[in-house]
Amino acid sequence: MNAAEDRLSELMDAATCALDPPIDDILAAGERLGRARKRRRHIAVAAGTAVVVLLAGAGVAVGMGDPDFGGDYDAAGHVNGPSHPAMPIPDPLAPSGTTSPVPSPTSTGPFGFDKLKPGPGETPINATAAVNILRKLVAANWKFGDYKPASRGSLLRVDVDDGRGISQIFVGIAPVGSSSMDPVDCSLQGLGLPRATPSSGAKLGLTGLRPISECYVESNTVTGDTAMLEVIAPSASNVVTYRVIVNRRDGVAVEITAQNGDPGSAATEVTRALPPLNVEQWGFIASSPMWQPYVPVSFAE
Amino acid sequence: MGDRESTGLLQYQEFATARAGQLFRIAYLMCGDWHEAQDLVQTCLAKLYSSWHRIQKSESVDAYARKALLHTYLSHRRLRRSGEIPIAEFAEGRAPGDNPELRLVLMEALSTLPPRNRAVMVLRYLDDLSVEDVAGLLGTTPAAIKSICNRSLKQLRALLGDDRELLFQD
Repeated sequence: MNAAEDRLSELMDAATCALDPPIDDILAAGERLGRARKRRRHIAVAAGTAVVVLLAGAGVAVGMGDPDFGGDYDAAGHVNGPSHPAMPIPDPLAPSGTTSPVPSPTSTGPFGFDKLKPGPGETPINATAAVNILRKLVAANWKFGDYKPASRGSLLRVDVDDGRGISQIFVGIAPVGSSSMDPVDCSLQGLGLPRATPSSGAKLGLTGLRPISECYVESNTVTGDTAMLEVIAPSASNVVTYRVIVNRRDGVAVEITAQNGDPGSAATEVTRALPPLNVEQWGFIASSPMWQPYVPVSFAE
Repeated sequence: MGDRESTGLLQYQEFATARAGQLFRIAYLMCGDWHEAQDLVQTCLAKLYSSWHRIQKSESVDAYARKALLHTYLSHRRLRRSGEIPIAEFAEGRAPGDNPELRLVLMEALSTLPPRNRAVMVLRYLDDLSVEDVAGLLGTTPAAIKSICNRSLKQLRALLGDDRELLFQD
């Protein structure tokens, strides 16, 4: 080192020698995060193995290239072009293979709310209304991109930017107990297993095979709502998904999914480290009574 | 927990306790933010913890820790670069005095360097790594590191100006 380099070393040393970071807190947090990381890795390995096994089995059962299965597959089972996101919100109007209540084919209510009628000045909720509601529930500086109904007839898919990168948000709404909404039960989101028990002959979806990092259910004793909160981090991707389903006491179930990238793209293609907010905050947003099957006309225009 | 596991945990804790302070100093000068530095060190320690069994057998744990910290920092920077606001000029009247002020001046000067160059300077001059070691951590050649050091030193000298001339004279 020359003199200038020596001086810089001294300067750096002098500038940082008196720092007094909270070492105990850092050590505790590091160990806690490390333990979670280790646990996630074990889960991911186990789930990855299960995915391979189930994909092979499902490929035989439903045939490769079935568009309902998430896209076309090559001989190795790789997805060539997914036809819908990895976590689509189920189509409330699609026929169900489960034993849960099925929306009537003659229904006129939005998203399976057949028994409800609009009040004066109300109209069925649509993607525009959903964006307007979401805008009111997040910080004012969030930017919203183009939006549209999410695939397969559900409410909304929109790109948002909270100033730290783009994130994809999906919103779905359905009556509590509807077959179009996953049950609020972590045991039914099991690793390597279909999300809900399908009846004989039902097709498995890719979403039913994804590994789940964390999932828990909590009940709000004041409002009577029950929420399932999931953080999903597939082993083969950097895309992290926060997913919440809230069963409200008024009979409305709301599902919101936030992702830090496009799960259909390459594994490393993420737009930010994590989705915006945290899963609890998304649970709070989903539990807002603003989410209703019918909304003021001004919201939907 | 088995004997081997508990021994490994103790070794990890011993290492983390001994090295966390220095890792924090490195992280803090690299990123320039107290809270982000904490995040970086926590993430680095988490990586160490989750791979402890493997790394304690294979390579220098110290080198692994530096590499984990460096890569975590660079990856944070890549994800945050769109929101980063470069500092074009120094605020007036920041004469260096005691350590906090000296630190601020140094941080401002370092913040004008690109993240990779900043990391090189901190590893080279705070952590006292050789040019070869820094090159190894960043997966580049010693010549490239020397070139970064020369350019960055020149830039720092220009930014720190006359007050720091004595510190940076050749």
